Amino acid sequence: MALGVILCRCNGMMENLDWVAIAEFLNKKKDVADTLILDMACSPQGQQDMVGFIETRKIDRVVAAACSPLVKGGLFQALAHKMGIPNQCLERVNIREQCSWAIRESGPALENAKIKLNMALKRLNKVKDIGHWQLNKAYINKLRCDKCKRCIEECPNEAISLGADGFPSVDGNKCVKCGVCLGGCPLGVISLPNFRLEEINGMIEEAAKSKSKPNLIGLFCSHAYEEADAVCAKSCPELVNLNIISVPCSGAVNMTLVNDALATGIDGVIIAGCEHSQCQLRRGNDYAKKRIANQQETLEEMFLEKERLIYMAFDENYTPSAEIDDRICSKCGSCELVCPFKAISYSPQENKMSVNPQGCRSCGTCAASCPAGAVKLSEACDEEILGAIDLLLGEGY
Amino acid sequence: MAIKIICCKNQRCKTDQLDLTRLKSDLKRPNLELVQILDLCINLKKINLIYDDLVICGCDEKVIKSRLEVNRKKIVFAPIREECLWLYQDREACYKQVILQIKLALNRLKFIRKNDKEPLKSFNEKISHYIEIIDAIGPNPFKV
Repeated sequence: MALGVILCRCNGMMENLDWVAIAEFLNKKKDVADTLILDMACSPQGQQDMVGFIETRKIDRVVAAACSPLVKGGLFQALAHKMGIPNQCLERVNIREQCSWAIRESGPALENAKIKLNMALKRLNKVKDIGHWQLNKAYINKLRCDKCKRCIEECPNEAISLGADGFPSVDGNKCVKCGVCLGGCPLGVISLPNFRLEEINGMIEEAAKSKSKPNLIGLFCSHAYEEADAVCAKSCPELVNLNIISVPCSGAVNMTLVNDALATGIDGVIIAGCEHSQCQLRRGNDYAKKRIANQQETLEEMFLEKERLIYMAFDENYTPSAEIDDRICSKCGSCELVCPFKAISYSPQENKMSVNPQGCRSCGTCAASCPAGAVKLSEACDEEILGAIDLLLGEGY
Repeated sequence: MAIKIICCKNQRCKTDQLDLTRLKSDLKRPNLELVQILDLCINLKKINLIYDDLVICGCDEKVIKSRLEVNRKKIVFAPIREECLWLYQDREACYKQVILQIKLALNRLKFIRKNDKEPLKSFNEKISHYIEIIDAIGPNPFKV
């Protein structure tokens, strides 16, 4: 196994990080084969350098410490795919938004970067190639499954059914890899292609070694992670105390992870997701809240404060919301029916359809389905698209 | 209202290869002004001082948008770095694509609304409140 670390300085945008110290820290690690520092990993030159690095050093596991996975994460995934590295053997570390930008002081930012890198290295050390990443759906380890059927009951997409052998069987066409089955499995025998409990446990073990007090761990769904990124870009010194791990959905957090986190000395666990009924992956947040309530009772039975585990939804309100033109709206309710985030409802007091600005994520489903064309989005409208088409046709496309 | 087209100039991004004189003559309109800023991503404060509507020509919006003060003006990005300069080998084809991206961005600017929503800063508040709670109840007794 050869583990390589790629560090991207993002064209000088992370000036508060001491790159020499980070490189020295990585050079001392026995499990790191080599480190590559780039000024801009996403540039054509940067990509060439990464290919050369992986080829010459025969790297088969990569830690990419750069911007948020939600910004240029796809680029590293494409690189891994090109180089024949399984997706699970790539770990992206968000040292830009959640480290350098969030924590402006260089000392704490450096310490935080080291913890994040340690977490990533530990995760990659725990990766086992059992081939299930190729399946692209939830994987159930039948050797350990006790056929309790909870996954069948809880799967929000009805992708799990009872197989002929009496074990649950996952339908790859229906599975959206939300991880709700994984979160509910009492034995923790379910895993996703990119999300195994052992790996996350390893990351938590490393996070527990942080010297910050209190030491918190955050298991954030992709939406909450995006909100965290947006806030962290303009500074968030609280992240000195909080290490965020991205999970597919808040419903994918198995309570064994919480138990293990508290057992390793983490002071508090935050599970962050969407508000009620706004889960894009369907009901994962509802399951998470129920499980957290149960787990809080268990914590109290163990004489631990229930506050050590908490569910949060941020509703950061950074996405411009859709607007409904009351003069045109016939109140047919089409928008309410199609809104995947349940952000539109009829208000009897005002006798109009109203949009919950915190719930709306500007997906545009309502605008596309409105027969009267009464819904307007701030960043896209029919006139703009028609204007763009005219422009393209005029340019000879 | 005047519109400023901000062009980033950076060697690694290849934005320094843009023929600004030609761009200026091709985009000559009464309310348009072309401004070049060196290393835009590390000089964002300059952008925050401009009150006109902006078309930013450079990297993809995901790279820097979250750090901009967007509430006072309309900002649209023309991702010429990823969509043109890093893709095209032929300079003329690349230039045509740059012009197209800028025109598309100007078209977008006509129709977008100002984002008047102020972020609630609920993230910072909720996290710091939780830190206070955990501080109050003390460290995890399992911690050795």
